[in-house]
Amino acid sequence: MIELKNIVKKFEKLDEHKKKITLIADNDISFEVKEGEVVGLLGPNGAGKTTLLRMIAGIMQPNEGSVLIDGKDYKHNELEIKKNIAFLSGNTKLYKELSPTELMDMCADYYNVDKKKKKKIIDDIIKRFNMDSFRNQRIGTLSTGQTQRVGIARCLVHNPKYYIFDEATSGLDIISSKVILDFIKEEKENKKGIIYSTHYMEEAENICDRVVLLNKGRIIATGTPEKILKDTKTDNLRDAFFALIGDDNNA
Amino acid sequence: MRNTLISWKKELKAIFRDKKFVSIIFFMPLIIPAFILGYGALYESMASADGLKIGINYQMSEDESNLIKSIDDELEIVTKSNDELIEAYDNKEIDAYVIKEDKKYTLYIDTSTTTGMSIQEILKVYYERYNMLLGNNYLLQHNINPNEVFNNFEVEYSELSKDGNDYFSNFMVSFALIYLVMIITITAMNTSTDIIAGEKERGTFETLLTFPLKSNEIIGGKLLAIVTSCIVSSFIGIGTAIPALFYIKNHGEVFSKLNINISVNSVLLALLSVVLTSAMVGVISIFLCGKAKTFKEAQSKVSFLSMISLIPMFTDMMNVNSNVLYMIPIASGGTILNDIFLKGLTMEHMLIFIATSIIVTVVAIFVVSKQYKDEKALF
Repeated sequence: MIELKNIVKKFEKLDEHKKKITLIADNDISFEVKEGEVVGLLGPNGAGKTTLLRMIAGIMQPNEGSVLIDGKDYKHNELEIKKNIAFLSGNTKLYKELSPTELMDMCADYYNVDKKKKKKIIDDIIKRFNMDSFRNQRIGTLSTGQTQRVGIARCLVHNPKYYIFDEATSGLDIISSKVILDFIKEEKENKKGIIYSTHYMEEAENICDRVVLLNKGRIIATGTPEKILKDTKTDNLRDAFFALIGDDNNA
Repeated sequence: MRNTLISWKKELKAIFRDKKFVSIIFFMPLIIPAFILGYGALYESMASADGLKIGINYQMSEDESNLIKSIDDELEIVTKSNDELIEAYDNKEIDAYVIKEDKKYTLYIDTSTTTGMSIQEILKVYYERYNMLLGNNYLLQHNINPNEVFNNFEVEYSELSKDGNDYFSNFMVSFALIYLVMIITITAMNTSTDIIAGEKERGTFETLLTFPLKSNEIIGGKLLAIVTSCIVSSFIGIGTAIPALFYIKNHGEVFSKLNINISVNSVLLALLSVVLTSAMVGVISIFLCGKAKTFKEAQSKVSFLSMISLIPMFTDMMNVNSNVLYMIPIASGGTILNDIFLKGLTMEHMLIFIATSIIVTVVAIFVVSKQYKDEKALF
């Protein structure tokens, strides 16, 4: 289980007068993600979603609070935890000089996958995502959809327990997005815990068991989509979000 | 260590599959032998009159002909009228011409060319000696022994240089060695900006951070890849420079005196120096790139490193000789290579260089490992 307890993340920046100011990206965030559960992280740009996901993936550390994965924290068990996590971001690019096979091979080496099993695992993933026709082509020469498939494929090499998707469908056409959404559904069936951040509220309603709505670094609502719609007396999560932020909408 | 080697392998694939880096690593060092051969040929042509043709508007006496042949027997002299000389020069049939009017010789020479400079040198010597010859003849006609008038003293030149090199061959080899260090620096600058700042900008750094790797392993792999690129680049430079030096030494007059210390020991010491310089410049580049958010920012932060590599050229010109030169990171590489191949290496200087390089590299690795644990360097 992934547990976030009272997470606070601050950044120091310079204002227009070149004075140091502190920005609070995430403030007192707590929620959990169980195995076999898809939790959606929803909110506008600047809500603190990416920073939060980076802390869950262990590439940033919170100033306060703790991130526990199966009861373990990053400070003492960083490498062990990372072996159980796969992180896929819409902004993350892949190494264009490598082929999909070479990328997966490299990932398998980093995750210390058994050398005897490595080839079969890679072949199975290539078959699963229908990547055989471009498996040895350089990633830089692939289409957006093919590249997205490679991005997902490399997450599977080490058979992680948890997936973290940060705006993974952002900018993709509906066919490429469907590949990711289908993958999330399949992995949910395989009892994997999934955190999924998106701008697209409809997507979240369809695939998330629970959602966490964020605005300006704070949780404004959490629960099943049905519960949030019921509490806000709205028909969809978009309206629910606006109902929740109220006057803050104009701020 | 295992993960560092995986990172190293990945970075090498990225570097050696990029056409830009391939041209920097493999082709830039070839400028060194090209420079040696080109400079050698230029200097040889300046020092030789082979193929040079001078026009004059008067008939040379037998004495004059013998005198000019004694200075350079390759020089060809043709006699024409004034107008024909001008036309011949315009048509590039002659390289320079001399017009004599009464007792005045006017030399028409284009000294902006190496040919012109060579002709100027030859004619200067010729007319000084011819003047002396006429003086001798005059004295003899008046029964005066010229030796009693002119040979009041004797002048003899004795070479003080231990290795027998002249200024030009020294300059050429010294510049080639400094350029070698500059190539190492440029390779390190380019590879580090791409695999550190470029990776941040492309968004692949974030992926790398999600792998079960320590930041030291990531940076260690990158440093090894940068150092490997520098070593490949410098080995190509040294490997092609040595045959080029042997070629000009054996095929030219001027560089036959060239006396550079090429032995197993000197080559091994040079390789050690190159490896130490590569490690030093690599880790310094990584440190500077860690302070940049974008590729362009990183480029501007590391650009001054190539200037440091040129310091030995200026200290050499100013004849500075101090132990401090062996302590200046990056620049010390050029200084020590010059000592190894040209000036003569002392144990003291080699030890200062090795110790300083190792200390700078270790301290920089320590600083970099701390730097990359901080999120500011990663995002």
